[in-house]
Amino acid sequence: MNTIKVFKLDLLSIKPYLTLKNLVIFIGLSVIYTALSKNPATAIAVSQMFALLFSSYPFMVGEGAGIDPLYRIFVIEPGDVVKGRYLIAGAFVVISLIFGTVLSLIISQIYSIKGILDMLLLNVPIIFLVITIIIFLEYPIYFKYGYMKGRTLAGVPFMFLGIAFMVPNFFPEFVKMILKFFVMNKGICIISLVLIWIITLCISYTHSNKVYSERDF
Amino acid sequence: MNRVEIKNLNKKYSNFSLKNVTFSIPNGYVTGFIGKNGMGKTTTIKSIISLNHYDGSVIFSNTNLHENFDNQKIGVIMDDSFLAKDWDITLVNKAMKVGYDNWNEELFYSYLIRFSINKKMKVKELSRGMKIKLMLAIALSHRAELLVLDEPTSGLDPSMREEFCEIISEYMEDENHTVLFSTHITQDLESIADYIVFIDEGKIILSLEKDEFLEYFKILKCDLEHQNTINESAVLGKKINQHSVEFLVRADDMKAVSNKFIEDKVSIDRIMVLYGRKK
Repeated sequence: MNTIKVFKLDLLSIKPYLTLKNLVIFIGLSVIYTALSKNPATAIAVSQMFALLFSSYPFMVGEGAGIDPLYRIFVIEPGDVVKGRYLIAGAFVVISLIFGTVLSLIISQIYSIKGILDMLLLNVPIIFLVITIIIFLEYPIYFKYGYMKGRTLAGVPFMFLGIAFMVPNFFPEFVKMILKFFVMNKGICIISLVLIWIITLCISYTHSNKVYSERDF
Repeated sequence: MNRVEIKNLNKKYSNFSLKNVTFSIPNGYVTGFIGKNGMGKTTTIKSIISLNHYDGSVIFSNTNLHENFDNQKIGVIMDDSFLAKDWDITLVNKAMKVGYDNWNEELFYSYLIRFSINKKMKVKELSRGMKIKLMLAIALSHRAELLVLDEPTSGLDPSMREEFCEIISEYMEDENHTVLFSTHITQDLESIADYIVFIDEGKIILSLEKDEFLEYFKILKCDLEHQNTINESAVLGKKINQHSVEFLVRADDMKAVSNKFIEDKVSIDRIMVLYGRKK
């Protein structure tokens, strides 16, 4: 029950920032980038940037106002706060994915792009897994250091992502071999990704729980 | 009967520690919690409301909060409001409704009218006095049986401080209500406190009924030339002025006072100023 309380309270804490202005910016940016790239998947990618941004808002608002002590005063156990935060992050990712998908469908109609459904079926689950993994890497840092201190460290997952994109340039043959393997073995590819996702979630959640339970306010 | 019993509370920081803090907060009374800045008042309060980890026990209404984390019956007013700065009062109400099991929305809005707080205002737009009143309205609207107040009147003008103390007195009309009032503005306590707990360097020095607390000390004054004639073992602190010296002593150790000394009026303020002072 308290997890739902945290979910509702976190939502209330960021409600002042869920404005029409932000929605217009989100739609505007999605449309502009998608039009420029002529790739409907861009809308999904932009929506996920917003999901990432909003998933850190409870920490930002919480730290600015000292909302975490309020949760303790409400007699909410630290474990429930952690669960609630992961739940709200998941909700942001799913909602923005739906939003991004709808937008990309509309844009694909406007630009008469074909094969959009195949593209979405491949991209949406992968983007979901990647974005949530980034959040899983960020959250323990925010729980331990708070938003201000953790912000710099939370950039590390993006650095790894950048490095991951550069790796193919240094080991093209090796990467080609791996990609070929995954293309040939789609089942193994999906299972591997899901396994990585589950392991990252477990490690992230356990660590967040531990550090947050030890925090003094 | 005690509402809260704090036993052997220990908390260590790199530059400060609470050492075996033990005292009680009697049910139905206002207990003043005094001490200079940085002496452990806020750390003790944070332990009482489970905001930090500690060794020892805090027993609230016969329940050990360490084992059974349940303090919804405690209303808290601290220096920080714990409210999102961009919340307007409507959102504050919604958040409290989610958080507190016994939230009384109607009562909250009635307090807002009484305190002249505009519902459309955001938390960040409220003055310090208004924020304190908002926190008070919150504390009173979830039927808190114990109010824990940490420096609520610092930064308030005298009229607002008086109004605040009047509200606390009104709250105390219910015999089941209890207040722990931490402050270094001791004039507030002179009027409303029934008990005084005095903390210094992380240790409880004294915990007594207010009149007993005042009677425990004597303040003696003498000329500079007679300052060495006092029994040093009875001195708890002294202040050397340009032409005179003020001593804080234990009254029991100084029953007979030499005619070289004159007794000055004892107040909580003077006790805090003189205690532990060496020059």
